[in-house]
Amino acid sequence: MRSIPLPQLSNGQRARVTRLRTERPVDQRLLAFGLMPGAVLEFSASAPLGDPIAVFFQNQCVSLRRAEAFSVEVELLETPASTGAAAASPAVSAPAAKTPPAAAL
Amino acid sequence: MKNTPERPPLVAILGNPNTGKSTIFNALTGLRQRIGNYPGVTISKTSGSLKISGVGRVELLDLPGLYSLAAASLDERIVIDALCGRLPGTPIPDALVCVADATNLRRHLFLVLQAAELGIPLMLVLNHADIVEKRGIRIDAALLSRRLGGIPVALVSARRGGALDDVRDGIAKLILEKPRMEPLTWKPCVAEALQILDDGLARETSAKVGQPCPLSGAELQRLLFDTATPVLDHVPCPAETIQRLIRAARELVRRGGYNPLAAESVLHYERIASVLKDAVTDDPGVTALTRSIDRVLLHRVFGALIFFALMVVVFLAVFSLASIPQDWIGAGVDWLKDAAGGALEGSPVLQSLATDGIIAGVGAFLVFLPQILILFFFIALLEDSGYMARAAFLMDKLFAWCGLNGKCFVPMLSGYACAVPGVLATRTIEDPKARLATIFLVPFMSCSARLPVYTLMIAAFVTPLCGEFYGGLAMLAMYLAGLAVAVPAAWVLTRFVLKTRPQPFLLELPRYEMPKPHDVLWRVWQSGFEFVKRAGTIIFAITVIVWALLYFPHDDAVEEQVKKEFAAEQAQEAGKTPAAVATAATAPVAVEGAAAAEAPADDADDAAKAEADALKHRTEAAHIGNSYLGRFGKFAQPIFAPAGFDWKITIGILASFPAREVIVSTLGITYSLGGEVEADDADLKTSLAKSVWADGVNVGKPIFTLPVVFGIMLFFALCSQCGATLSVIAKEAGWRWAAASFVFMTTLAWVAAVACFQIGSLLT
Repeated sequence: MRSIPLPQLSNGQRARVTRLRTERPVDQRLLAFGLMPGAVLEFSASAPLGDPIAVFFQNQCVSLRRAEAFSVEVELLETPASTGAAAASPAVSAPAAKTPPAAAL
Repeated sequence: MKNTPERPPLVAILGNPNTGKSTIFNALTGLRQRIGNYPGVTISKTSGSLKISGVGRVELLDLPGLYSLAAASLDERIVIDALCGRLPGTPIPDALVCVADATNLRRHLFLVLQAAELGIPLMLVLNHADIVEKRGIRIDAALLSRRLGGIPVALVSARRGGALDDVRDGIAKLILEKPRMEPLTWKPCVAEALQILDDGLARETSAKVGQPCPLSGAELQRLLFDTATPVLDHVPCPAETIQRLIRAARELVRRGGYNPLAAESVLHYERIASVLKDAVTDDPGVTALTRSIDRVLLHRVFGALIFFALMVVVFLAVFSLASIPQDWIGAGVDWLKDAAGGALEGSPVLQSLATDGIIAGVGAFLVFLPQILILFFFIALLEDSGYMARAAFLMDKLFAWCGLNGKCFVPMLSGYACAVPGVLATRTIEDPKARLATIFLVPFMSCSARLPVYTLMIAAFVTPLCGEFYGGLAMLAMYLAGLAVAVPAAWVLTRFVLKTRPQPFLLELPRYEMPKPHDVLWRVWQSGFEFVKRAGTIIFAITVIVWALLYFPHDDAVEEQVKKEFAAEQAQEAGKTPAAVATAATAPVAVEGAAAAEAPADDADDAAKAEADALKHRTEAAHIGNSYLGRFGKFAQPIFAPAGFDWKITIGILASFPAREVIVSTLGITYSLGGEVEADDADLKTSLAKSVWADGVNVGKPIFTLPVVFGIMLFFALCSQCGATLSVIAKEAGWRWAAASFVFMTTLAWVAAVACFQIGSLLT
């Protein structure tokens, strides 16, 4: 299963976190919320103007801006009926690729 | 006991936002403050004291809520500084009460574990026991306590008003026995990195300031783990040196197999998992109902529609519903004025002080109360239900590009009704810079006090000259003018003045809860009380001062002069009823004087009365022209000359400093129609339309041309002529911000009025 940035999920999709950037304050906040590799999340909603998005994980619902959500890479857990455009498009995960592998976390 | 007798022990309350921290604080101290359901409720420093048997008086400090000691925002930095004893006037707390939400212990224990590294005695308070019980979750408090090193653990439900005896007992134990929570046993690579950092800093600071580095273990951890931390400001050596030492320490952690910026979270969460194992039964979907509601309320279409419907209700309530009690207040004030005016007939100075100074001054701030109470009623409902965070989520995109966030929407919207409650409503914005920017922007929204100015000007000049349609268009243009200026201003302000770095907007969408009527009413009462106490006095003072400047010196010679001129004019013009003129001229200014003269016929009586009124208004106009503010207005008129304003308009602008709408009655006085004119007064309209320049290059030409009229409206759309708003800004953000707001808005208003007049004159 290939990793995609969190904002490319669509409503209702469930995914497992594979990687997380760590340099920005927002990344540290996400870590404090317990969002780290291995955590399972669900994409709950995206605001009427497309940004921010709301994510549900570990019994909490958190809203974050798309630009910030690109810190998080996930792999889909359930493939929805339509193989969404998100999965088909090449993952624009250049920033995440530069990060030291968080697998060591 | 080691406690020094001079100072009672200081106990700080620490916890995530939205845990019921403030509720527990209030219940313990009895000093109530607002309770919300919105992350970031506690903004200012709040402290209180309580007595515990066997211990005595204890000082309680309610710290701002935060998720992690890795500080991002200003209020989070304050918490770190307070915990490390770096805030002037706040010693290191003697004990910590960590409040956690029992329904999401996993996340809430993270902060508790971070706090344990401080080495301060601490206890754990698990709030929302009622919800835990209802959901069938079992929490073994005794096991938790044992696993955390024997610290007191209390399970409470503060919202239900449950007993907090366990918390009191816990605090007593903290002070008497000082139980400390075991800090984490760090992995060797982290422990080594901390040691090396400590040694390095000690070496560098000894070399620099001759004494070793005074950082605590917790502070060292913040330096090692956080990308930005206030601890950096407390190390007495150059930034490059610190960064070099930190980089070296982090390299050690990395070689040990951990990402140094994530190591803390990973290790703490590992410990949390082992602490919670078997102590807490599995939590079955805490927010199942909330998630179902959110499927509708966060829906891209329905969510937006519901949001706008709600906002329309809020706006209409603040705008229209509030006008009913405001009319009552207005009527009450008028009645009081009449009563006091009648009672003090004999002494004109006292009469004017009582009616136009004191009673008008009280009315000036009372009139804002209905709007404030209604707005805060809705804000309390929105926050306590948990919807406010959703509103911020839905609206964020509109504000994000200019450095603000979704929480700015409600204050800005309220600004369209009145800036005073709007500025107060910015308390819901937790990011201090976004809050300041919003405070600055709210007064630009076209509030209801601007309406009389627009109405007068449009009805007197725009509609007669251009027709109804353009009158309506002009009104719309004025409503948009503020917004058109405010949005670029926001961008400039956040980018260049406040230099807001893009703030992470990580917002917890809390569980929906039924607001408790008691809490809502408390918030409403408190907002009203605080407004009257904090801003009311200043608004009152401003009104009385401006009254005095407009009243004094109140020279009798002025009155004599007007009487003479008036009598001469009457005699010269008509000469028909010299008796009436004589009566009017010799009788006191009051109407009754003329009436008492018992003119032979009714119409003669009416004529005499009209003349007496005219004389009275002429006298008022002369007095205002001769008052200190009037003299200053004539002196300052050249400032407004480029905008085409005469000295009467200039006085109107100066006199309307306490409140914009005063311009209408001031124009009424300066144009000798009396101060009781309304915005749709026909006489005032005609009188303004007929007024011409008495001297100068434009002598004989009308003063109120379209460019001047639009200049006046633009000036009032953008200016800061509202003592109430300025005093509220001063109370919320400080006098410097109030002054800055005044200077900025007034300059902008002047530039707009001048540009309007100059460009308009070129075109016509």
